[in-house]
Amino acid sequence: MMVIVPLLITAIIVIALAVLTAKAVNKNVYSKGKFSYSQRVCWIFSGYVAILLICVVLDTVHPVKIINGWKKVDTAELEKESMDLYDSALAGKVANEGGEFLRKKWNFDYNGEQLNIATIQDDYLNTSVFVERKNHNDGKIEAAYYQTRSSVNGMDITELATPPGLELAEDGLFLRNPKKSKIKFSEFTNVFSVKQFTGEEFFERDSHYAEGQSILYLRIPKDLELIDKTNIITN
Amino acid sequence: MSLTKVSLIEVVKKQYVYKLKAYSQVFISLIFLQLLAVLFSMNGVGSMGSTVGSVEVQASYFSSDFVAAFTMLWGFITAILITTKAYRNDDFVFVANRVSSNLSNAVFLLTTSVVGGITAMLSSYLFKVIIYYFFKSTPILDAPIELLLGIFSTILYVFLFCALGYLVGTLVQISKVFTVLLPAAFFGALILEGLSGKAGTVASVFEFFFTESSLVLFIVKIIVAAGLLFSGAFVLSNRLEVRG
Repeated sequence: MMVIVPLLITAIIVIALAVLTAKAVNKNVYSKGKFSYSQRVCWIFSGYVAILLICVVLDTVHPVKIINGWKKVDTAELEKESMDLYDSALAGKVANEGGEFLRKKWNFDYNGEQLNIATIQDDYLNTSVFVERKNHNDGKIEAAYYQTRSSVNGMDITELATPPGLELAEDGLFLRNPKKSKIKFSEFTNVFSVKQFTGEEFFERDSHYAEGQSILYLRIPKDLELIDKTNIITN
Repeated sequence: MSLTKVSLIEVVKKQYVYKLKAYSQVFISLIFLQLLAVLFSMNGVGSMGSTVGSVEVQASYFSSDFVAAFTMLWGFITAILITTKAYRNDDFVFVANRVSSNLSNAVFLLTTSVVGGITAMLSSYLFKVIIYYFFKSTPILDAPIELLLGIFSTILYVFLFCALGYLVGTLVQISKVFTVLLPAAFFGALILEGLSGKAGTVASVFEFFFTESSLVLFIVKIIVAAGLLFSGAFVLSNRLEVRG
């Protein structure tokens, strides 16, 4: 019922407007200047159509485009690269295969025997952590953050997804929320009388998100004991 | 009584040309309504907010839904208006009978549907340009707009509503009872359906047209329905009193 009320109000406004304009003008139809009136209508209407056509031309000459340098991406492709990156991380080959998705690298010197790994504010931390033990003890922790592309409605927003923070303190390695970023955009969609043929949802707006796979790959000295407090460490 | 015998087509043609001029004010109301709809559309027809990882996404959607819906309603009202007495009597400026009068009305309504459908779809460019040039604050994503399909399907919808309006108008001319009865029946059914939560007649009629995904079937449905509505109106209008 709540949906009907604004619809009804709109309908009443529309009906009232249509009837009023028609009635107000109706008198003129019977006056002597009938044809000059219809000519005036013709002029006004031509003016309206001309404005619409100018807008069509403006839009064609200067098409409304994706701005800010955002690119269109193929979501299927994104999904594949996300899976591939995960698989190569599992296989321990991410350094070779995931090179193009490397976003950030850290190197820490650490000579302790135990290392806590914990997160600080992980509200929207969605990173899988992989740990690989090196063959020797060199007192170095190497961390690499990989992330595949993310998209919203087929638009590449990877640049907006910032890597999480990683810091080494006395008592352990801390993972922080990535810096939050925000995008706002407008999108033109087809009218409902087109959507019913193109298979789009009628009143629903189509929105697709693909969040890129994000992986933190740690390489730690051979005998370092890890104490995981994150629950996100895969291995 | 006329001395020269005039063929039906010629009469229809004459009446049609006359009506285009005499009823031209309906196009002014069309402009009003479409501009109003464009104004309403500025706010966006929908919005969406979500978070993708650390990225907060806020989107507003724009489409010519309002303009198309307003135009359909306009077609409905226009059709009712031209069945009213003041308009009906215009026909008898010429040598005319009910057939020629009805036919010329149908052709006139077809013309208004075409005009309404085309301008409705073109007006989406108007607000696109307005948003683009005057509200540059947010970036804009442009989906491919199916202009021709939009124009074509909107014309058909407007024509369907014209046909419905024409039948309603004719019914009201037969008896004023229908001015109360028809809206009461429509809204009564709508409210009953709303209360019972089941899809009833009104919902299934809407579904019949608005969820048809095959263009060919859609065209057939609209033409058959509009044809039936017009024939109904033609038959009923013969019951109207002969003008003295």
